[in-house]
Amino acid sequence: MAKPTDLIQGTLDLLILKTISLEPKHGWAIAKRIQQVSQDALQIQQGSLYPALHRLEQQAWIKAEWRPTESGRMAKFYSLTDSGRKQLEKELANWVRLSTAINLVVQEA
Amino acid sequence: MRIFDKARLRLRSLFRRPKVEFELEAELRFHLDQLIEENIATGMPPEEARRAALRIRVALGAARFHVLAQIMKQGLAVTALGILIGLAGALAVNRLIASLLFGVQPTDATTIAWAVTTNLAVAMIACWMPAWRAARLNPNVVLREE
Repeated sequence: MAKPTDLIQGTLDLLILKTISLEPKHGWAIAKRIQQVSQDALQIQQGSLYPALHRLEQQAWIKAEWRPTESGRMAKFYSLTDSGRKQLEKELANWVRLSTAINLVVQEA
Repeated sequence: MRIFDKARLRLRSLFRRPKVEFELEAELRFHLDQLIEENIATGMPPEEARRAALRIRVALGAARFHVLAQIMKQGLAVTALGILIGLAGALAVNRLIASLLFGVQPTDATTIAWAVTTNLAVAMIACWMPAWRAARLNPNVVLREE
């Protein structure tokens, strides 16, 4: 199981931005979603998640809103801002570039 | 550079902390409750699930105490230094003020002890308030223990 420290620096931001790009989610749901989509390979600990959310909010890439969940309990939902959407595109492009480059090197016959 | 950033953040947080802290507490509680629910759903005994969540909260509390103790220590170190300088100064110039005093010796031990004690007490109270505020949850370190 990959711990957050095993993630390449900066990829957590990308994962979070991507995860809330479709619909607003609270912290717990973000962690669960990342875990589920990555087929349990990525487990985001709260110790990394909430500082990252806080940082992204400070950068104004995401905004938070208290809303009731399906069970009626209040939770802090995060959603992308306009600049967050731009940032997501930028980081996504960066990621594709980087991972392609690394693949080229490690898969060299 | 990093020290400067830290000082700036800490200063700012003195004013902005309460709302942030309140929200963070609520957010954390929500997260831990979800964790408890999930653990129970996957077959962990409820008692154990609650204990696991509690451990995280206790870890946070410990971090809080650590910050509090450190700030108090810093404040009291400065106070102790000031008292030492003050004592040295008082003993150095006691001859000059001897003529102004009535019914008490310039080196009267009880008087000096009272002055030192009063100073310490005031300093401790003065340190406690900002230390207590600064020791509240810091969003940047919150939940690092897990």
